[in-house]
Amino acid sequence: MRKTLLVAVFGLASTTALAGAGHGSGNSQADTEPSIDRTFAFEAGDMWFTPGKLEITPGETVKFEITNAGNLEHEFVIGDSEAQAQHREMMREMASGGGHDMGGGHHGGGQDDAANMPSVTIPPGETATLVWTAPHDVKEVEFACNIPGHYEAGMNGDIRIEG
Amino acid sequence: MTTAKHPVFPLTRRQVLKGGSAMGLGAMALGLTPAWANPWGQSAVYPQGTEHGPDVSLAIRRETSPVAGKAARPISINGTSPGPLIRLREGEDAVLRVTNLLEEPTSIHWHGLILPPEMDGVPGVSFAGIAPGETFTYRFPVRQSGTYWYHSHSGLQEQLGHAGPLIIDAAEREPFRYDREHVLLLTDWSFEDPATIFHNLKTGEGYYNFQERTVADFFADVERNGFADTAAQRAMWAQMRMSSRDIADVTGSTYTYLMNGQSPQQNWTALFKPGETQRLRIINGSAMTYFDVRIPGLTMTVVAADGQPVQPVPVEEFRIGIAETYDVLVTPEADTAYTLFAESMDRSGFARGTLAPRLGMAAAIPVRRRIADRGMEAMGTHGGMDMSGMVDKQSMDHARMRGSDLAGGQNMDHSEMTGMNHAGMQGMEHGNMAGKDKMPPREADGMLPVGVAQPGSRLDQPGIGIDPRERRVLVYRDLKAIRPWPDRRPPGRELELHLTGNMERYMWSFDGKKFSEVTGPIHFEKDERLRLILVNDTMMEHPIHLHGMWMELENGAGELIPRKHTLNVKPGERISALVTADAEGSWAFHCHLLYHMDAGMFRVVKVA
Repeated sequence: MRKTLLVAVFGLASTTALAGAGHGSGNSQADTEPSIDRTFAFEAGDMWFTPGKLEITPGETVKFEITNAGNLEHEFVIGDSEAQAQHREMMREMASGGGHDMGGGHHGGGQDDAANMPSVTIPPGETATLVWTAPHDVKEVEFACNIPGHYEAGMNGDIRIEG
Repeated sequence: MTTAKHPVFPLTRRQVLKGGSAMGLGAMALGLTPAWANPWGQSAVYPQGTEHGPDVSLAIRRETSPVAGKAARPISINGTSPGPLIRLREGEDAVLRVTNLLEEPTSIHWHGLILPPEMDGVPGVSFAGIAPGETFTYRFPVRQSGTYWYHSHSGLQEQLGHAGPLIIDAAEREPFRYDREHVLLLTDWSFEDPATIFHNLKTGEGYYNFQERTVADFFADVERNGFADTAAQRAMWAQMRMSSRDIADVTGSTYTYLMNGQSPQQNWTALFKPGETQRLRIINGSAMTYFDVRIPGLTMTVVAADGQPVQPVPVEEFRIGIAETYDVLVTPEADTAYTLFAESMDRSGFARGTLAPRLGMAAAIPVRRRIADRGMEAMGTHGGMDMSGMVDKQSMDHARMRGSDLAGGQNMDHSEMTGMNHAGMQGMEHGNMAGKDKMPPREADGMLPVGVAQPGSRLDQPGIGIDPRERRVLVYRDLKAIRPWPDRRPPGRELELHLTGNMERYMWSFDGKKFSEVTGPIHFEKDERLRLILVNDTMMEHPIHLHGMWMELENGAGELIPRKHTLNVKPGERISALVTADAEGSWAFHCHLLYHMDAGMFRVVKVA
């Protein structure tokens, strides 16, 4: 769990650098506590997310609480569809290149943009949080699990950024 | 069981009407193609004609009906060949009335379904068969979901189109999402009588193999490998009474490969809307043909194997053995046509259809690959690289095998080699082959831990003639269950069976004995957990099917090993599966290559 949270912080830090939105992490370090506008409870199963899509307003800071209700590890990644596709391809390469364990250990390997997307990895039965601020310059992003095959089987959805 | 007194026409008025409307649709382009081959597939928006359970009536006939545009006499089921899609629901009690309007006994086996033995439909094993004019009523609770199929288990009837898809809708949410589904039933049709094909196989080795190596091939090999190696290899194959091009024993020289009953020229078309995810339910309902399936331009995500959900695997190609089923998802984004391409493993032909946004479209048909040569790995490589095992057995020096002193194979010990019909390889000590250092650790009882792949398996290889470097290809090792299957017990014992054969005499068997030569069934103790080890001593692939119980393929996935009803065993390979013997009764266990089964590669498993 600790590891998961660290990933969340890292992912977030990268995003803030990119988007310049300037918010801290979702866990309770007092000094960086952001003001959360809304909290969304997500469920990740084998192979689905609930809810399946989302609408938020630009600049809104939201907290995702994602519970893994499935039997397999999942991730929750936010990014545009190209970055997601790139990340997916990278993970597939890694899975086919090395071990047969597809889950885990996939972050931090590449120097592509995809690695900079805010993301958490959630072991079965656990809950992870991710805090994210919707950018002003993008109309739509995806949330996805990019463990090989999971996206294609249905673990993806759109976030519309409007308002 | 109920039996009708008269050979009545068993269709209800409703079915006749339904059939009529399906025929109306079909009359335009489809002829007698089954109604489920509707290009729009199935979705909430476009329902189609299908025999929906739980009550289904089926009439089996022999009739004149064109196949691939030529006059033919297939066996039809409710007027189509292949037969209608039967759609059941998990949790319901199915009642399937099958009326035999043939002049010989028939049967239907529900392939992959877990049901009482007397409903399994194997004449002589679990029921008497259905006599001409009679109706047999199959009744069983539907306790599973997914993509399956059904076919005759009487003689060679299956070769005449006596088969169809069987789909069971899941009671709970399936572990994947899609917008529309299509069934792709692959079959191999011959205008020759099946009995004639069998006779030809019996009397003329390589009768259908027009791709034998030629003098030109010989000189090409000499140029590549040198004369000595080439000659040695040739001599070896000759001694084994095999050709290195025995990839399939019945080939495109007699077969027309069909997708949903249509030839490549007829181009069966499945329609999609760009951006929609399509679930393709691919069933290999052929008698003798392994297919390599791909859709150039699309990645296929495999989500189920043999009806059972698996962790999704994105691939560009997969090999489907006879009787296997795979469910794949594709999401074509472009407003363009894609070719559904199923190339026979020996490259002698292909089935083809099109996935398109509109009817009348077509995409390029891929260039067929050249037939592969069975390398020496077919001779028992166990581990996949060299012949060290065989060399050990024959006390040959491996280095000398490749050496120039082997010209013509004259220095080989022929007394050993000549005795080597395929059964002769049984005696090999497989345990030694992979090398001690690679041996997985064993349990205290000497058995391998649950889920570990056998030394001698090649589950990470797709098989002959596919180059995994060319595109991503599914291998058995990729198949992982989503959650462990219910019985977590380790096996209490191991049962090893050898797949054996003699190509020249077209004899196929288990442990060297044809079905007609064995005295009794293979015994499974009721409720025992056992490990079935299959060792392929032949140089051909065999799809091995166990009725009535799942086989959990030990492919290295630990507690997430997949379960299957049909296991492809590659030449020289040794694989294992865990079985829970909870289904009391007598069950068929056989090679699903139709003519191999008929030749004797068949046993009865008795659970008691």
